[in-house]
Amino acid sequence: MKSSGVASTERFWGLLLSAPYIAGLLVFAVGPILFSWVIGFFAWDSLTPPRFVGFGNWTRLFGDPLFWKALGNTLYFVIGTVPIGIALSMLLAMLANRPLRGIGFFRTLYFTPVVTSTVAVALVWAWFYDPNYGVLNYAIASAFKLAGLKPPSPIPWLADPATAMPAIMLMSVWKGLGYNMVILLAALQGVPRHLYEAAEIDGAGPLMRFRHITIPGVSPVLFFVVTVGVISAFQVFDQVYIMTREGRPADSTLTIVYYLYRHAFSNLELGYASTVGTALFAIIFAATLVQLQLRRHWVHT
Amino acid sequence: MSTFLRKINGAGRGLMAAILILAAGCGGDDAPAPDGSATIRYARWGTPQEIDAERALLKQFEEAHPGVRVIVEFNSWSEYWTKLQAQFAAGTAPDVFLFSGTRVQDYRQRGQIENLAARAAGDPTLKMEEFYPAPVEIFTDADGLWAMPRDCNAIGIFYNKTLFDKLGVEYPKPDWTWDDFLAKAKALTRDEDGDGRMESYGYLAAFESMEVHWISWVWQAGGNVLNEARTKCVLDSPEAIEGLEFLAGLVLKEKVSPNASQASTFGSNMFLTGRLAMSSEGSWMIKGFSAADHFQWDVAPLPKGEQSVGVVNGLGNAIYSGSKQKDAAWELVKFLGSRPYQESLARSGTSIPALRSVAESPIYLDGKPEGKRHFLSQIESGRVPDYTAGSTQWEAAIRGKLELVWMGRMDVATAAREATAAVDAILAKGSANP
Repeated sequence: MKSSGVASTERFWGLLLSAPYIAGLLVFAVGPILFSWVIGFFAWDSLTPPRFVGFGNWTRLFGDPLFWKALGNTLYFVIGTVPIGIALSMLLAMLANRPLRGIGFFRTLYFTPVVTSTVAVALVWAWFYDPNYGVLNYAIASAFKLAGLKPPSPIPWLADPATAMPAIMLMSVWKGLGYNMVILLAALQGVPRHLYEAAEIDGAGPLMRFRHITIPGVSPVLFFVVTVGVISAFQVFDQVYIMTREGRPADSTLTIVYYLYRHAFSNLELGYASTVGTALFAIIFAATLVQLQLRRHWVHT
Repeated sequence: MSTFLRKINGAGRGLMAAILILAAGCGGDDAPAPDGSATIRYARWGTPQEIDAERALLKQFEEAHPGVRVIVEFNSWSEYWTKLQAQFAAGTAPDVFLFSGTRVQDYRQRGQIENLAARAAGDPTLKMEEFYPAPVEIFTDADGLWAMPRDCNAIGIFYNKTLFDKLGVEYPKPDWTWDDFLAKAKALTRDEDGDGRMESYGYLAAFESMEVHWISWVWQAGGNVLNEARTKCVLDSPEAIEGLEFLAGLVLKEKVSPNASQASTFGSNMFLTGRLAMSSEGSWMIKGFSAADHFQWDVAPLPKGEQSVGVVNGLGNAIYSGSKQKDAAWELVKFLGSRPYQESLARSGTSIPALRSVAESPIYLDGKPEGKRHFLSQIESGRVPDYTAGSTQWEAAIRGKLELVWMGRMDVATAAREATAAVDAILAKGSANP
């Protein structure tokens, strides 16, 4: 009887101590998600009672060319940022893994953008890209002048539909580098030294060691970084909100989450916006399932 | 189980019960107290610099109304509307809030805003005719009055006198025309060093804001955005197209205005750089521009087209229909339109007071720029835009099409036609069927 009393006390305390987290999860995550799935079948402005419309929002979604455009732009962003971002993070992690003097300083330096708010970073980068006063155009013009060439007319990075999205991608890759670097760095340090030593004795060059020891060694972490990177890239919003408001120019930077935001907060269409959110959830879920399937082909466990 | 553990266990359960009781007690009732004391929440947008002045004024109000306490909630313009919408949805909107004509129909048709018509008519201390007509008109419809006037806005041509002098161009006269305007703009657009980049531009023809950038030109050409009943868009009429054509032509044909790629796309106002000779700006910009010390500037009225008309707008303070403190809230919205508050508004230089006698007094008119007085005549004779439910939505739809024109990717007629179709679709939905 005594031991079961202790067990029950432990169970009680376990529940009590985890209750705030579970309550938070239920109230602020699970609840709203379920609610948005349901409200996606209603027309709702958040002020007057919702009206059931069945699959009306879904037919509207599939029939709206702007949704497809936003989806295309979002995929462009995912494909344009995740692979490059992770490749560069890997490179940085390997550099930061060297026993260099003051390496802590460099690690901190690369991590700084991660802990800086996206809004602040986006504001600064918008200045970099400014056609008249931006440092980027200034650098290009200076390079041409140094080479004795006539500088080209300044590039309106954020005002030209062809360059606006790549400009946002570049900033996003830069901002995310440090996060992945730190995680990959930890993984690199977990790869047993003796494997490298053994490989070296067997005559494996640096590339061979990278391909056959480093990559398999960090592959579970690489999988995590890719999966989480894809999920967050699909939800890109802040950069667009700050740098190219309204998805400008000519909807070239309109992403799904901005499209959702516009319907929810400018148009008072919370039902439709919920449908958009549910669709995005389904897309991300599908993308993650695909990655889980692919995992067994390359992740070393 | 040891006594110690049992004690902690008991304490834990007690703590939990206490939390539950506290949580249950939070939904307190805030009905008006019998002695007339009340706490009202008042929300406005503004800059952090305005907070102290606002608090000082509200102190005056609190002294005149013993027992009433005002909590002011400041937000930036961009956060204000999102937050207010969320508060409406949650039923926790502030009792009093600053409101614009653009969104008044969206919220009043959904029953969120208190109708002030009966209170205004029944209050002997209030004389509505003392206000300029524009900010009253903008909040009035067939069913009532939805906000008390606070301030007025007008649009003028801000011009860089230093640049005019340097290039030997005469300052605009109050009765100038589109032709005068274009001639000056041409003379002020200069490429001094011949590198293909302009050192100065005559004007910045932008399309971002219907109020600031283009509606006056459409009106002056004899066109409009909506028909009289505000049920259909008429932006595809030949007159409206003519107005837009003139503006777009400044960028694409005459090249006296920078296009999107030549204009600074981000951050500060181009007029402040000193490279722009003329710019359409709202009367609220006076304060911000007064910091510019590297050039002299003044304000001219908009040039005349076939008709002489300029846009006027206004802001008001509205009361939340779910407020439990409507009597105290009414006193506050009246105070915000009363002489002490209006005089402070005039002194701050951020807006034109809605109270005519204050706007016409030296408190507002003294000081630079001299052209301020043109705003007042525009407010008397100007026109208020036709706002409907969904205004922000259809404005954005038009903006999306005009953007393509300004980029040279679509002609004005096609853009006007497509914009009209988009606006009609939004108007057809109405607000009853969001």
